[in-house]
Amino acid sequence: MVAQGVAREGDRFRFDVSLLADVDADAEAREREWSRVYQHFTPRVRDFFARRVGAPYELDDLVTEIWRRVTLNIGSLSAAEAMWTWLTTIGVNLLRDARRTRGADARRAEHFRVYLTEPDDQETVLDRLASDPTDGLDRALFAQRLASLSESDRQLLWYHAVEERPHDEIAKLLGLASAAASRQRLRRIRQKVRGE
Amino acid sequence: MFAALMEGTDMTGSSSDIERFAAMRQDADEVLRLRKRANQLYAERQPAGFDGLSDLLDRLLPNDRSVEERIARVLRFPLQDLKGLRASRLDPTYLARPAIASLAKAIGLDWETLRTLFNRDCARFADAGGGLVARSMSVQSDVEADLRAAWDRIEMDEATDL
Repeated sequence: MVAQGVAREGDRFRFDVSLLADVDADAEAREREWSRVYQHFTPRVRDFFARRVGAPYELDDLVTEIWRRVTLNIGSLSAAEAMWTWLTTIGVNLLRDARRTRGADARRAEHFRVYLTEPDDQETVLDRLASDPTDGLDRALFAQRLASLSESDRQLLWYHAVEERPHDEIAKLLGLASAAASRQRLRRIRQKVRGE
Repeated sequence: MFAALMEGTDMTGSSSDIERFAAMRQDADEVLRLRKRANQLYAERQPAGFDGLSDLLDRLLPNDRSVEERIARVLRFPLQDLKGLRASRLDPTYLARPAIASLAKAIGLDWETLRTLFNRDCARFADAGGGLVARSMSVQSDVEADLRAAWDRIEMDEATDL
């Protein structure tokens, strides 16, 4: 099943599909054929996707991933003429995945923005922070201070207090250097919400 | 070897790119060999006849550690997870669905067989308890739906219909 064919460029380039797929074939001949195919299509694939991705390293990753999928599924290709369409189809599928992931990230950011302003979530956060002396903290004032936190601080609080994730996981999710960095930042957030 | 093959050809990529591609392709070759072994095994015994995905993998995966590593690497399957699954130490419910789907494709399973074998492993872990919480039908159904989505996504990258 293929999601979408894209283009017909490169149809004139001929190569031996069965040789590529035959792992028992002569190793040197097969290596040569693969390298010929790789060298023919890689610059074209790069050109095709260059304007569709944001950064050079993303293009490198995309091209590498396309070829990984091709090498794993080469047995599904029946005609050399279809190679260009296949390469671009895989690339388009991958870009679509990336867009979906970015959309999910954006929705999660919205989730943090909205939900840490809900009284129930604030209660959860406050309860979790209550292992420290927050008993006397005015809830309305707490809500106000919570709302004034940066989005990344609210994310950290959400992971810590609502999802109860360990600090090493939080550090990975937020791109912090270590679990210690996550703990340190949580201490600063506590100070902010306590008005210290 | 690869550098020698490049002599006299019209280089369109850097040599390091080509070497990286050659290394990746050699990893992928191990998956193609795995697929061949799987087909030979299935000629003697239907894959659905195994006790689970773990049982089947243990029969199919090579014992050579470096080959196992290559397979894990090119399939993006964390090596420890692969070893744990193969040894029936890990409940597949907790493993990444795309990795499982990709592995199942690599050993030539169809969706129904994967589903059957996967559920056998899950049921064994659920029955055994072993510190794991028994799963409700609805949770298992969600897990299966996720696995199916991962399976469908992999099929989108095949050239079968081109």
